[in-house]
Amino acid sequence: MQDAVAVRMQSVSLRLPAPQHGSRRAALLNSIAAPVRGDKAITVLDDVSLTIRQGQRIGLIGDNGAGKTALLRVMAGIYPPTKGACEVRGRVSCLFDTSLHGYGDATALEFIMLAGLTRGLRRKAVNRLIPAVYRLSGIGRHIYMPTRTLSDGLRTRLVFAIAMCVDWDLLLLDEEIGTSDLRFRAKAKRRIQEAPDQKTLVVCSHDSRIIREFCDRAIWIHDGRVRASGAVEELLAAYRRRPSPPTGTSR
Amino acid sequence: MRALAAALANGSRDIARSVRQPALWAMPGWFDFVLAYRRTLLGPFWETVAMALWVAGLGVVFGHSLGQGDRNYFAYVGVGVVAWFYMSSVATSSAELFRSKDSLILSHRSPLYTYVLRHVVAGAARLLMHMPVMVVVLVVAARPGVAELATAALGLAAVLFASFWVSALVGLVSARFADTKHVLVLASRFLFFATPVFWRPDSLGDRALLASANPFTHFIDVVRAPLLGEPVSDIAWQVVAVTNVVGAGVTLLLYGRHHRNVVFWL
Repeated sequence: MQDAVAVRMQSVSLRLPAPQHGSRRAALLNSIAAPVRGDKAITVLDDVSLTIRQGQRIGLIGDNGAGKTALLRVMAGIYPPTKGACEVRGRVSCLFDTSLHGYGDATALEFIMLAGLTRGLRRKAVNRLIPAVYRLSGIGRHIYMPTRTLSDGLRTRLVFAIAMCVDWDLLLLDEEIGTSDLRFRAKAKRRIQEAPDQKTLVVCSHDSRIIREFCDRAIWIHDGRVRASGAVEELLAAYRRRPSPPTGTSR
Repeated sequence: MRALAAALANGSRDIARSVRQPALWAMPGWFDFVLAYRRTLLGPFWETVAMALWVAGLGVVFGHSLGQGDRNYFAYVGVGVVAWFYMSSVATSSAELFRSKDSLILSHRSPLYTYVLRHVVAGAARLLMHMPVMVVVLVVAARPGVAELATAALGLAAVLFASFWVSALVGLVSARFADTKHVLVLASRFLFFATPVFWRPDSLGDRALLASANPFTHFIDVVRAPLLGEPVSDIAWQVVAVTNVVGAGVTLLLYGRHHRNVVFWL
């Protein structure tokens, strides 16, 4: 099973429209003309090719704005690539932010239910999800509280537990696990380690401890490209030795 | 021609996938509506109270000042205001349809039209809370028969159908052009007075054409006229049918062509 492919990206490029600044007249003209002559765009991913095999625990490292989140969103099928192809096998579960998605007044219990439904789960699966999230998140009596009243740490545990407890073959995590407490991180790590061998994890973090704890390989994204990939310690060492970017430059 | 067919196929595929997954929009749509009233005493019944005050206020103030002081006028205003507020609120709130769900859209892959369906469910829930006001004024002032109720139900179905394409169209355009929301709010304020919601088109005299050139007049007419025991004009059914067919067709084309870009516009 270790050789089966979980994610295959072939020459993936992604361009995102860039917000226009300047005079109101210029903004208005651009707004009207853009559908005809196309938006000004920035290249976020540039000819990325990579293969992630089932069962691998991959850490994405790189500077802010390097393209890590965009890469995860392409894997999740949220951003269609501008060029190239991305093939993903199996069910994908994502955690890209700890936003409440406008459900601040819903109780944590309702939030779990709604999160399950918006991930396409059926009622029976949602009924199984609730106790699983309750146990993993350790939310306790706060389950009946409005989600807006939860602390940042508890909110992180809640959304992380939801992402973990739905059935997944590929789990995509963006940063958030770093803001949870040590006890919960240990619990999450155990849960990932206990996951069957063919389950694949891709986690993006600036925290080298997270990459070490959760991953067995790393990919360094720089300026929208894969700069290097390999063993975690080697890559973290190379990343630490990188020259500082000159100030005031832009892509 | 091939691009046109591809756009139609893309749009239809996304819509079909969305319809097949009610878990993604039925309950979430209800919550979108009901959560706005959490921590309030009356909950969603604030909608009922607000609508009752609107109808009572317009009925009392304009019932006499416009020289239309009959009991039937309350039914006229009651149905007109409920139908108008449904249409205008669906159109104006659609401007935030995708923008207000940006974190969700950028976090999970799901067919985009599920967000349109959520919005339609929330709008229908609001309409449901307005219905008691309409029922009361009809029982007191009009008492329509079964045939009239059936015709009005057909008219209401046409209004509800419009909400599916209007929501998608406005949501799509507004995701690309942020000014859309402000334009719609201004337009709905103006159109409330320019549409025969609380005044009768024949009171315009020579300028009655202004009312009949306004499609909202006919969308209200196909619901209201039968409930008041009046015949619905052929022209009203024709305008409603043509608007729905053309609107749905144009929306399907634009939606099919551009819905994949919405994630980039948020």
